[in-house]
Amino acid sequence: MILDRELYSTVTVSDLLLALMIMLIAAMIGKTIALNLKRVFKDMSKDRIATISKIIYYTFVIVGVLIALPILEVNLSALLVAGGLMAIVIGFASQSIVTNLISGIFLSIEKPVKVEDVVSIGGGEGSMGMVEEIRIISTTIRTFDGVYVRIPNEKVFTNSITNFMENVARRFEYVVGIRYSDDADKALEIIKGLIEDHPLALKEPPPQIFVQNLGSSSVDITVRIWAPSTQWFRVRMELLWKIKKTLEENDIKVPFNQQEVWFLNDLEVQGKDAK
Amino acid sequence: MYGDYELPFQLSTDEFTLMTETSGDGFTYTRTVGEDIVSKQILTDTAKLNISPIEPLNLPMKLTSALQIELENAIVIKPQSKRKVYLTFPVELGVFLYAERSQKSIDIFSLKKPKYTLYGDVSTGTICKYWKSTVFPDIPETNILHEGVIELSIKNNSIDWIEIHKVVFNAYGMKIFYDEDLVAMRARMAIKKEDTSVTDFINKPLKKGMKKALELYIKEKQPLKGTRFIMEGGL
Repeated sequence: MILDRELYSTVTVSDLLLALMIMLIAAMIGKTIALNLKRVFKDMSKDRIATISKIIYYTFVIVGVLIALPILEVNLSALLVAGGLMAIVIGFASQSIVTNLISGIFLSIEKPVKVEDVVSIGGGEGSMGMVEEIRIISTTIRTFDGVYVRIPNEKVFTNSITNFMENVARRFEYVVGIRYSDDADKALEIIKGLIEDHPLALKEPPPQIFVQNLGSSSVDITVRIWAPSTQWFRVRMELLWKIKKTLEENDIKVPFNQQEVWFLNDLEVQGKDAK
Repeated sequence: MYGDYELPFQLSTDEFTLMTETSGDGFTYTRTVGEDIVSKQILTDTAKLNISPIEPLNLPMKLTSALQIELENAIVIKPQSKRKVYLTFPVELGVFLYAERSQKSIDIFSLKKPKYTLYGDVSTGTICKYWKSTVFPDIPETNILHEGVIELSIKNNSIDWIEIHKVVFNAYGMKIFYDEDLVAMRARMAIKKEDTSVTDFINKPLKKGMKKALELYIKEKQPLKGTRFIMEGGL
């Protein structure tokens, strides 16, 4: 029978099939548990679930392989010696991969960034965006203009990270200049009312609205507002436009820069109808 | 007002209109609140529609499951004592379609303006839906389309006099009941010390005969979510 046919040594086709089946079942169990983990722990952060899922999956795969290898008469102790030698060779050849791997492990322990956080890594505009995935070797982010950026974990770990989502609320600020002839008290009241009306401009910590500076062309009103970190940009955009429109509707205008120029001598104006 | 309706139907108040009209093989659902109009096509020949007060944490978006009620007049409670007060909460109206066993929320609206706040500090605090309420000694009269009533049993387990300025609740524990005159929940607040307390809800109606409202924040679907709120950022 074909199943009893010897492939090498005493290993038959049926042994090979059994070994493959064990590895397949182990992988399937690992995958099933990993998938169900995502379903059961919906509230756990995505990156944590992804890490735990990967650990469970690969543990099952490794266990499956370790059970299957003796069936195929592979000597594990010989494999370990060969593996040791290989490890030295591979270690030299893949220093940067190991560095990234270790950085990845430390990143998953320290957790300075999480999936869906808006971050800036290394301070450059190019590496500012939303974290899409934290893998064991690299971290991927999607910049605000939709560009995929893959950053090796070593760079993530050793560079400065600004995480805009780590705290639940975030403050932003405007400076609104109005004319000296405008009623500043009225402007303050209008701005206060608009902030109060906006659902996502937080009640606490309270907003601050005050005259900060008497500028050369305008009375400068500083407006500081707290918003949920996830909605910060939206609130900032919406409120700025509303403040501009509402102030103008109330005849309070943002002045152009003004400069008074004094001439030492009388001016002589030349031209056809000059006086 | 709240309850089941057979399609097609129309419901109008001074503040909003709900309407379903037969359209082709199904129905057209239209809701109007001021200038805000929502219209949806429902593809079914048989279905019931239910209007229910729901956890007030869905509008303008599902940003948090915590509701903070600031008290207009602070409560001072003596050590080792238990008292009952009544607060109000904003009502959100959920429109559900259901056929056989499954139900689907097709619309949520509110006649009250939403506002958010931060409970605790910026790094460890919680974003909460914000509401300000007077503290009432008895069940206050409310417009059931605007406000509901929370019966709050406060138990001061500490050995100090405690002053309470705000209460925070978790939507996953909310159990709303309603009848023709009242939308209500029953809640508890156990004070441990000056700045720490725990709030949760009681799954019983405030009055006999009240119907249980449909729930959107279902604990069973979110096993890791608790039903209590631990107030550690001050009372």
